[in-house]
Amino acid sequence: MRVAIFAENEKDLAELASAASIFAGREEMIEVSIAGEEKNISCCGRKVVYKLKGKQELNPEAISNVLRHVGEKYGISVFLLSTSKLCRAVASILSILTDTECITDAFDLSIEGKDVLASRGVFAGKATARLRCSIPCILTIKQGKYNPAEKVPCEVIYEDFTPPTKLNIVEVSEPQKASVDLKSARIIVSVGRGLKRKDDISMVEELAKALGAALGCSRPISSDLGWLPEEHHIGLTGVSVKPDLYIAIGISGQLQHLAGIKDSKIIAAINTDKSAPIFQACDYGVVGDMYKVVPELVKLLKSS
Amino acid sequence: MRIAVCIKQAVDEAELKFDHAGNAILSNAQTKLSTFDKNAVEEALRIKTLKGGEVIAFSAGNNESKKGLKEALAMGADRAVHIITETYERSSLTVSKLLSKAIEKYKPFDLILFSEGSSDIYTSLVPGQVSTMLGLPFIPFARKIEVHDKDVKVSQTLEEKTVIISSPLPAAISVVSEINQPRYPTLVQIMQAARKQIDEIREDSLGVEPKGYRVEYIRAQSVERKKVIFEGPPEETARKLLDALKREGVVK
Repeated sequence: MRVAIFAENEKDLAELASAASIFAGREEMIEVSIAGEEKNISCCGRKVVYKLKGKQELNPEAISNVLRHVGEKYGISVFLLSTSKLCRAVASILSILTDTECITDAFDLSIEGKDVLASRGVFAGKATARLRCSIPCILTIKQGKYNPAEKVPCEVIYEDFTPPTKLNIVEVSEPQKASVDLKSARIIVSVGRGLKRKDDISMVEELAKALGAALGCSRPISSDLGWLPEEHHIGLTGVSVKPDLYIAIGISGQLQHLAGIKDSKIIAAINTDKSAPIFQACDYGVVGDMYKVVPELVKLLKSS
Repeated sequence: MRIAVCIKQAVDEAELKFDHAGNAILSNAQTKLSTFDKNAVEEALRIKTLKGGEVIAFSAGNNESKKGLKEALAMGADRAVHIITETYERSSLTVSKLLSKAIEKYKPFDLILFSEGSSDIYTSLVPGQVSTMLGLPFIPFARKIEVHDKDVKVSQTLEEKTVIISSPLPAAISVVSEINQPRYPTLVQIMQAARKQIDEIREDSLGVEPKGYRVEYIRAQSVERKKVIFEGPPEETARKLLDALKREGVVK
């Protein structure tokens, strides 16, 4: 069976190659690149390189057509993609172009006869679904579930193919250089609707600083109130995190938020409302006013 | 401007119950209009206010779907189409085929709108699948939509980039929840919605073979937390919390 993998960054590619190993050996894996030029090193046996002109490397329609081209030319049975927003869109288009089934956010893959079994989180992380689909198929693989495969020298093949598309990428603004790296943070201090004023963020920041923690927030703080940039937003529609310690301050614990923190090793919570759902989802909880408890924590940390 | 908006009556994840073996109880589970779908309906209504025209809401699902369609009508959608399926459990691919076949019957449309994903399953596959089946260009994860006479300009937020994309009309777009604040219908609007039309199409009349993933099981996610709760004066609870975190080795 032949497998093609596609992702926007090296780390995801290495995880995909690792996930792909249940379907095929290295020599039957193809890494698809749209960068135009590539070094002869990969987690896969072969690298097939396309050049998408202009800013088309962000065009899901163009990428889907590239992958369809790979599929037809190289006889691909399984496509593995990352779960980035772009890759999810690509997977959805590709599933129709190739009339194949698709499972997003998949992990714990196994093969049973002509089928693939995969798990994925559902109901905002409250449950896990075990899904079955028949090969050929498209899978987007949940990040952080597979150990990255190693890169070794590979064969490189250049393809001359211009994918059809109606979309025009007008402008790309590069990251307002992410000021916070929540995904790799060891400790995260996160604030929610219990915060009364924007200026009070400094109090929470002081705790983050004392702990050497990154600052996160629940959806209302970034999306509704705009008190923190969206890159701080943790939850189903924001960032998913897995720190050693997650401290939820003034966060009630809506399922959408809990979905983004469930892989944390230890969850601590501070909230005035004893019946808040966060206390059912934490290891240690303090029932109390964040405006009193947080300064106390800072004081204790500074004195020790 | 004719706008189709696709919505889903989702199982309410907050109310979801499990049996003794930990299996999700989906029959008769409480449902709600998928949280982010309200943003899609709102965006359709916003564009209608600017450009005039008609908004038609489509939903594929069992009888519960009527509730979501009524909510969309109360918000201001002009008409609604219910594709009746026997069960809630239909794969994304099957739902997409049902929706696109139904939309075909009500052509032409200038815009098809979706939310980024459903609040229950969140595969986020349906928007791209329906668009592609209808042969329309698809722009996912829109944060801002500017509609012109012949084309549409969309600002899209990816993980680390903001991308401006333009596309000729007709086009299909999925919106993120940050795009707007959905309106709450008034009591009068809710009552008026009861009189608006909901067309019904039976799934077997659309000639769609159920395809796509099958569900083996849906089980409770078993992450057990310690749930140690401290109450008392702040200086005391703060110290207890910190001691506990030090014992766990997560604070030095």
